[in-house]
Parts: sequence; structure tokens; C-alpha cells
Amino acid sequence: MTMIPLNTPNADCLIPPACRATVDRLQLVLDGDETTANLELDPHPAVCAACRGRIAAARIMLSILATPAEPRVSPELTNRILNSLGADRRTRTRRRAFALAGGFAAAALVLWFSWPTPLPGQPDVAVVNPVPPVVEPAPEPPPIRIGAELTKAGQALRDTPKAITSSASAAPEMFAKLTDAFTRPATPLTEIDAPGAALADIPTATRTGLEPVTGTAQKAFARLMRDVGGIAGNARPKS
Amino acid sequence: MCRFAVFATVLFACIAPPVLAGPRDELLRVAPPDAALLVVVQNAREHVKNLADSPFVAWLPSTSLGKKLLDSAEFKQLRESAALFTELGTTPQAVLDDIVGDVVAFAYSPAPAGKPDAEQAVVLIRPRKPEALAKVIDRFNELQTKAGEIKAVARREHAGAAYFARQHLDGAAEFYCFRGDVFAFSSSEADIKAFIDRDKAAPVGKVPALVARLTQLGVADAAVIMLVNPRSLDAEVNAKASSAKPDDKRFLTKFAEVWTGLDAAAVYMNLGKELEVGLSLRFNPDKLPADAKKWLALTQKWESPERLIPRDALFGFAGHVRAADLLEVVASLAPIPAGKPGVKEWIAQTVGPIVGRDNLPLVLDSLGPNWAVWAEAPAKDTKDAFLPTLVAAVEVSGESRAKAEKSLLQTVEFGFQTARVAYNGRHTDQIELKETKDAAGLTITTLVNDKGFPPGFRPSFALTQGYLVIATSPDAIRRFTPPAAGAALPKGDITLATLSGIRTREYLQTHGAKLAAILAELGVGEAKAVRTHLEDIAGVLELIDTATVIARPTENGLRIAVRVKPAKPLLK
Repeated sequence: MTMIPLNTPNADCLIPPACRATVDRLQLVLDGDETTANLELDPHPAVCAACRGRIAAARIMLSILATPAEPRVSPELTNRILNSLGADRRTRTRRRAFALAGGFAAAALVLWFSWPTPLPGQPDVAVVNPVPPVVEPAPEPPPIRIGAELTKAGQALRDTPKAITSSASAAPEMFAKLTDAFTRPATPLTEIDAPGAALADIPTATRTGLEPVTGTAQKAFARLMRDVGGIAGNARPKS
Repeated sequence: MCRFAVFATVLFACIAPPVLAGPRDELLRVAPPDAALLVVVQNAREHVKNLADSPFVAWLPSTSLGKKLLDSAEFKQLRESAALFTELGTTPQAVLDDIVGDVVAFAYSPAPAGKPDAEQAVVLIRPRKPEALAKVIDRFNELQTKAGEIKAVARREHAGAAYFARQHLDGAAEFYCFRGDVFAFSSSEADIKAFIDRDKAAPVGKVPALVARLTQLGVADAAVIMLVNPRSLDAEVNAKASSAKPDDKRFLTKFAEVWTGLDAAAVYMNLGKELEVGLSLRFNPDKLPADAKKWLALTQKWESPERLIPRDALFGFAGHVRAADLLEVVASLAPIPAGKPGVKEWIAQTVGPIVGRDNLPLVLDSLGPNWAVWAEAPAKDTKDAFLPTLVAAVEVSGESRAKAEKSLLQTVEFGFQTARVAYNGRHTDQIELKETKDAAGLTITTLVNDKGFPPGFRPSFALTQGYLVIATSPDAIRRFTPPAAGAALPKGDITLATLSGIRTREYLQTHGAKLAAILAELGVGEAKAVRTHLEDIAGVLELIDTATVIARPTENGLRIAVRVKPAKPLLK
């Protein structure tokens, strides 16, 4: 099994379109242009094992970068480095470079094992690790919360028609405004008001009469949503 | 999932192929027969496929609403959600084909008063491949257990039949089981046990009672049905009537009487070449009040008045009722405020002196039964005309027609004169009342004010060919053509309202800005907001060729529906 680093030209054509945005965001995080918090906002990794692997690898690398003081290297190498240290900036930079290399190596390992499909035709290349760090075993990607994802999908399904219904609702709104404008008396006519108001009450009374049906339909919908929510792990109903 | 298929699913509807009676009947055999509401979605596989392949769905993305839909975050989220299916080891198409494509139902009964825990609800699915559903459920349980969303799935038994409980960490649970090929799911254990009991008790090979009820309502093959069991809601309806405010009391009492006679009701949606959404009612005539029987078409013959509306109208409404009958029913429903006149007294006090109190019953009895109101595009030969021409026509009939016509002409002329005097008193520009008579003897009375009225606006009235016609243009009266006397009335559906999406949209696109300005002046709202509303309406109308509201008398019942012919065919 082989792996493709994120930033190689080959990777571009091999990364599925659905993963593109996540990979780009990950690159920004690795570049230091975005924080890891932004990774949490991305829903895609929850449904994509490959991207979960990429992110896990990146997290390991970033955690190494965040605590770069103890790269475990051979005593000889340490001595050599310490001898030439001189507490100058160049040395600090180099140490970071080692850590970075180690991080990339760790990330590469995680990616290796988490890549969903082998890439045909790719030579098996050993990953060179100049300073092999002792890497904790990569944490297993968190299991997908299918219920939560289902809830999101259900919400999207419910909300999608809004693009149409919001426009369609303009017609009754306009009709209501028109009737209001045309039926509003210029001056109060007390004798006409009473029967006029009586007639105007009929639609209200109709709505009241139908409330047992409309109310039951609303309750039914709420129950259905509650049960689906129950599947999803939210708003679980008590048995 | 291709976007056309997503469209098709979102728009979800159905196409005419005959419903698979087998799966539906199998499912309804074990559905609760006394549920207050039963929602059935059937034959979705065919319907979604037909829609996905249709010229309408192929064309939709190029429309303004289609673009709005495609660009919406929700639609994008929905498309991304398709990845979930991979986790479940299936695909959207497989779910549609093998699991939900035949028939799915949801039965619900609200909790009775004082027993909040007695609410009943169950979801039923009759999959084409039960093993496919079982596999998805297993995978679902596995993923949720792994993610800590549920604690465990426990096997239980009732009456010797196995069912399963999905146990959450907080002690809550959901329950499911298969009986034969029908799957049931509920968050209530009692409802799953009841499902098992029904399966054991319900006869096999006999038409289920619910299917018989749907057939009587004429909706058994509809794609989506919401069946209402009126008896489950009797107590609530009666409680509404007895606790009603004084203003609503009369109406709600009458409503409760009619409700008692309601045997079954269903809201349905169907889509063949056209989309139809409607309400089907079936009554028990023995339990209905006598006057309600007449109004619910159980005793009288309905006739079709829609031919009054010209085919090139933008939209229109039509009816078949005498003014006297309409007044009677309105007066029986409207409240009578203490110390104030009722509707009938009010008519007698206001219209009586104009037509003559002795003449009023005669006029009301002669007015109708056919009537219609409609809007036409502005006359193209009138420069700068932008307001739609509004027309109202009401038949004058009966033995005393001549006398009634004279009284009606006097009444309308009185109204015109009053409006003219009121306007002239407040404006420097003045209205004239002009009378014209053409070679055929048609006399049209018109209010004329070329300075103050919008171009083309000339309110007029006339009596012609047995109809009193009032319009915002004398030309519309000249064009008016009633159905030939004695012509055979069309059978079947009765059109109560009609809308031409194409013409109305064309009108709004051409004259929307000017119309918005004048509506703003009339107090409808701010011009910019009104314009936006009109543009939104035009966007919706782009999808519609014509829409009609129809009524159809059925055996001991009535069906009212909105039928929409879309701008592009819904079938390939």
C-alpha cells in the first residue's frame, strides 16, 4: 500500500472532489493560516474515512510541532547538535525542521494506514525519517455518528423546499395585503361594521373548527420528527 | 445521486402507473384501522424515476426558482448527505428501489384528554427486499453502538413473536420488528406489540378495511394520502363548539353537526400528466343536517359555470349559486352581535331602499345561479394601459327576470353615481357618467375621467344576454360571451377557479413596475417591497402553465382539488 502526500501534483488528481475542500482546509491549517478549530466545522470528515485519517495525521504532526522540545534522537546526533548550538536562531529553526519532518513522517504513517484504497501503479517508497520520533499509536478515527448525520440530512431535506415555498408564499401575502387595502373603510360606518365584522369572523371560525385536524397533523409531524430524532440520538423518547 | 433524482425526490410526487396493490394491501392489513391520521406514500420508485426522467425536471435548473433551489445551502447539504448511504453499505437508489419504493406509512392518534402517555404512533414499511432493509438496520445499529449513540439492541418477545429494542444510554428506547414482509418502528413498545397483535388477528387475503375506505374516497391509488378518521376527533370538535366564543358559536355548532355526518376524509396528492392536490370527503347522509346536504352536493345537481371565464383570462373564479341561497347560508353561519343587525337585516337596510324593499326578495332570487369574476390583460389598443381589466358577470334568471333587471340596473347606477359624486367633491379633475348604445342595442354606462384615472381604466356596467356585467373597461363588456342557452353542460369536474401561469407571468413582467407603484399608492405596501413580491410570484408562475380549482361530486361525497399543469411535461 502506498500513500500520496497532500501537496504533490499527483495527489491533486487523486483526491476525490468531495474531499477537495477538506484537503484544502487541512493544508491551510498545516501552513498555519487557519486553526485546528476550523477543522471541527467541516462535516465532511464525519462521512469520509480518508479525510478522517488525513486529519488524524495532521493532528499528530501539529501536536509534535506544538511541543518540539524533546525530539528523541540518538546521543551522537544530540552531541553534534548541541556542540554546534550556540543558542542561535539557526539551531532553533533546525530543531523545528526536525520536528516538522518527524511530524510529516507520523502523518504519513497514519495516512498510509488510513488511505481507503490502494493507489495502483504507485511505487512502494519507504518514508525517510531522519529523526524518527517515538510516536504514540495513531488514535482510531472517531466512529461516525450516523444518527447525527441523519439528523442533518433530515433537516436539509425539510429546509430545501424553502427556496420555493418562500417565493410561493408571496402570492397569499400579496392577496391578504390587497384585500386589507381594499376592504379598509375610509370612515367608520357603524351600521355596516357589525355585519361586516360578522362576515369577517367566518374564516377565523373555520380555522378554529379545523383546529382538531390541523392540530393533530402538527402533533403527528412532531411525533414523527421526535421518533426520527430518537433514531438520531437526539430528543430520545422514553419508552 | 444525480441532481435530477434529488430534484425528483424533493419535489416528490407520483405518476399514473397503477399502484402495486399487493404491497399496499399487505401494509394496510397491519396498520391501525382506527388511527386519527394515517399517511401513506406509495409507488415512490416509479414516481421518482418518472420525475427524474421528465422534461420538467430537466428544465427546472434553468428557471429562476430552480437556480435558487440549486444554490441553496440546504440543497448542497442534502446532496452531500448522500455519502451517509455509503456508511450504511447502500446507495440512495437502492434504498428507493428496495426499501421505500413500494409503500411507507405513518399512523398517528393523539393522546386522549388526561392521558398524555397514550399517544400512539407507528411507522410501517413494506420493502421490496426485506433483506436489504434488515441489512441497513443491522449496519445502522452497529455504527450507533460503536459511536455510543445507543447502548445496545435487545431482543424481546410478545405473543411468541420477536421484536427488538434499541436502548439508549438514558433509558429511552425505540422498537422495531418484521412481521412477514412488513417492518414496523415506533418509540412506543405498546405500539409494536399492537402491530404484532394485528398481524396475528387480521385476516389474510381479504381487502383490508383501510383499503376499502381509501377506495370509497377515490384516493386509493394516490401517491401520497393523509387519511383522517373523523371519529377519533369527535370529542375535540365537540369541545371546540361547546367552548367557542360567542362570535364563533353559530359557525362551530354547525361545523360540529356536519362533522358528525362526515364518514371519512383524505387529503391526497397525485401526479399524472398534471399535479393534483385535493381533499376528498365522504358523508353519511343520514347523519347530516338537511341544509348541509344541499351545500355538500348530496341532493342538488351541480352545473359548470366556468365557461363564463374567457380562455385568455389571467385568472378567474366562478360559482353556481343563487344570491338568495348564499345569503341564507351565510346568515345561518355568521354570528349575530347583540343589538346589531344580522347579515340579512343589514342587506335589507342597505340595499333594500335602493332596489325597493318589496323588490329585494325578488332581486336576490333572480341573481344567479351562474356567476364569475376574472381578470384580463390590459387592452393592447389602449396606449399605456397597464392595469388588468377586471370583470364580474352574474346571471339574472327566473320568472321575474325583467323586473329584477330593472331594479339591478337602478342599483348599480346608484352605486356609480354615488362614487362619482364622492370623487368629484374631493378632486379638481371630474368624472363623467356616459351612456353608449351600439347597433346591436347594447347600452353600456361608463365612468369617464381621462385626466384622473389610469390609462384604460373606465368602470362600466351593462345588462347583456341575461347577465349583469360590471367591468373596468367597456370593451370587456362588449367581448362578453355567455354560454349558449340550453347548451349541454360538461360532465365531471366543475371548475371553481382558474389561473393562467403563462399569461399572468407575462403580465407581471411587462407591467409589474407600474402595478407595484399603483398598489403602493393604494396602501398595499412600499413600492419596492411590492415589486419584490410581484417578482417572486412571477418566478413561481414560470413553473405553471395553468392551475385550476375543481370540485367533483362523488357518491355521498365531494372532492375539491387544485390541479396544476406545469410549464413542461411531468412525463417523458
